[in-house]
Amino acid sequence: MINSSEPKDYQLLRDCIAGNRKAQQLLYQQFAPRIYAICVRYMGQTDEAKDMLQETMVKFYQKSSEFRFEGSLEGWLKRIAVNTCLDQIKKNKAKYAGSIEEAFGLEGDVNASQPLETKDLLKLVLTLPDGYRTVFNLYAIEGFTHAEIGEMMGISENTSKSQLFKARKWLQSKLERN
Amino acid sequence: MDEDLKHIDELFKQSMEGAEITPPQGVFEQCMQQLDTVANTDANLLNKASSSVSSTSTVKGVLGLSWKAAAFVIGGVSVVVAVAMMVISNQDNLGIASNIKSNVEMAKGSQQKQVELDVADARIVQDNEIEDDGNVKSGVNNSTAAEVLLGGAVVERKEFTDVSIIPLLGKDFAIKTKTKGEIENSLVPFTEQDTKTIGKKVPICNNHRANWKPVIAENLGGIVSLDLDGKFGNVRIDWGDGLSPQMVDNRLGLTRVSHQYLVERNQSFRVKLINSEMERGQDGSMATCKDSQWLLIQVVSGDDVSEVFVPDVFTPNGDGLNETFYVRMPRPLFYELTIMDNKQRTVFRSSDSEEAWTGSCGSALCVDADYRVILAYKYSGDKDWKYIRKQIKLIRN
Repeated sequence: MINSSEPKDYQLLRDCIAGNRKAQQLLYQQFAPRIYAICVRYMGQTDEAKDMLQETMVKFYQKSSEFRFEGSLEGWLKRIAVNTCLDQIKKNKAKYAGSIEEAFGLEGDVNASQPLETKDLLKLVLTLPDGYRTVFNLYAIEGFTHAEIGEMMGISENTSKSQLFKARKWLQSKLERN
Repeated sequence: MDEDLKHIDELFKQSMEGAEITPPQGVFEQCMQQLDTVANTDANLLNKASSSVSSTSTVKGVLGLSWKAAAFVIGGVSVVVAVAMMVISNQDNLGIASNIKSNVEMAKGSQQKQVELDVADARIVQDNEIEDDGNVKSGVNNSTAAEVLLGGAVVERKEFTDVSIIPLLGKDFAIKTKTKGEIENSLVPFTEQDTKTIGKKVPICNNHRANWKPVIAENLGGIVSLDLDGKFGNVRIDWGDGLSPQMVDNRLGLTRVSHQYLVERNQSFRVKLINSEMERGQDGSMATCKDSQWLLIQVVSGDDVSEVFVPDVFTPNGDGLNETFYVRMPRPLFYELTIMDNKQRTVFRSSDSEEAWTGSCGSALCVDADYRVILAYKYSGDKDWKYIRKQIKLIRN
């Protein structure tokens, strides 16, 4: 007998572990839009975001049998996504050291007369310079502490704090302009 | 001042959490393609392994790691031998990019920790022994620390109960360990400035790709023999039973190396095999290449696994014999049985260990064919679900 309080994702995951392609697809359909949104939030709406989605899902399928069937599957997937993006950001940093201040953007401008929607806010986040954006994402949206962020990104806690402060400032100034 | 801006976090958090963006087309298909590449590699190696082991059932499959179990009789005692093959031959296009865990926690109850490596663009992650080039020490089995040395100085030291450092062959390699406060199921690699590139390139032999075939044979009196068949150059084998590694100078062109284990109940042996030979490189010159493979040989008393029996065949033809399919096991706490046809359609599902499958597919009778059984169960006190996957045959005539 299956525990009735068990989240319904778990059954899907079990089929997925068993190699059932239909289940893999269902899981993909269920989670990909959210995971992709995370990837875009970190990488901008670029090919890289798509690559990160793919990498996240592949890692997820490969590691699915390691899931302990405790807690939220979505939370676990998001974790994989965030870490995958962070890895990439670090790699990019090494590759293009010095030129990371360039900002990504979604196509089109924020329409000032409308109330701010998710899409608009996302655009604003994407205008943040790289370092600010990553810290802001990790702290404000993912809810990590500065200590955790420091460790994840290999920066000091204080750097994380000041990046966050700058990010908030930046966003505030953009918001005021609207 | 900082406090004043907290509302900004809130605004964005509310809006971004759970936000969805439709991903571009084709990503799922690409994922599947990528996974198939890995799976095929696994399957090939498994096929090679299973041809030598009778009555097999896959118990667990993780990336690059699969379990095989075979039941046979040793001196009248039923014994199960499970072979875990460390496959780890990632294709060039695998692109899992940054990290692959070489999971060394395969042995049940093992206390091993793992050290993770940056394997971007790597082709093969290999064994945990490195030839003594003075750069890497690996504290396997008998050490509590792993040290990474650079230019004779220790640049990294990690305390663990048991450590394997797994270098990349064919690439310069870097060692990244998990830092404390690690996040479950995720990888927090060192930052770039912490990463030390060390080691030297050792080409991988094109000939073998770590596909030596294990043959496990029964013997009387609790002696289990393990043969490894394949092509070898000079090979160093640690049979994992505490004896010194065996060195085989293979100028004779042997295709089999053998070892005998004296097995008491429930023992496992980790076999590490490092092959080294001369091979003509791309530039035409002869150079040493290496190749390696791990095997986990687990010998488990039949008593411990007799609790679950999944039949291979059943014959729902009305003759009163073997009419239904069910798993023989003491009633578990949680149980989930799924049976799928060869098109991956679920034909039967039950969460009651005493419910049997009559061989019907919906309202129709299922055709004679192979079916895939996936059993997940958990006894009270078990931390994890256990899985059994098996092909069974439905035969009416």
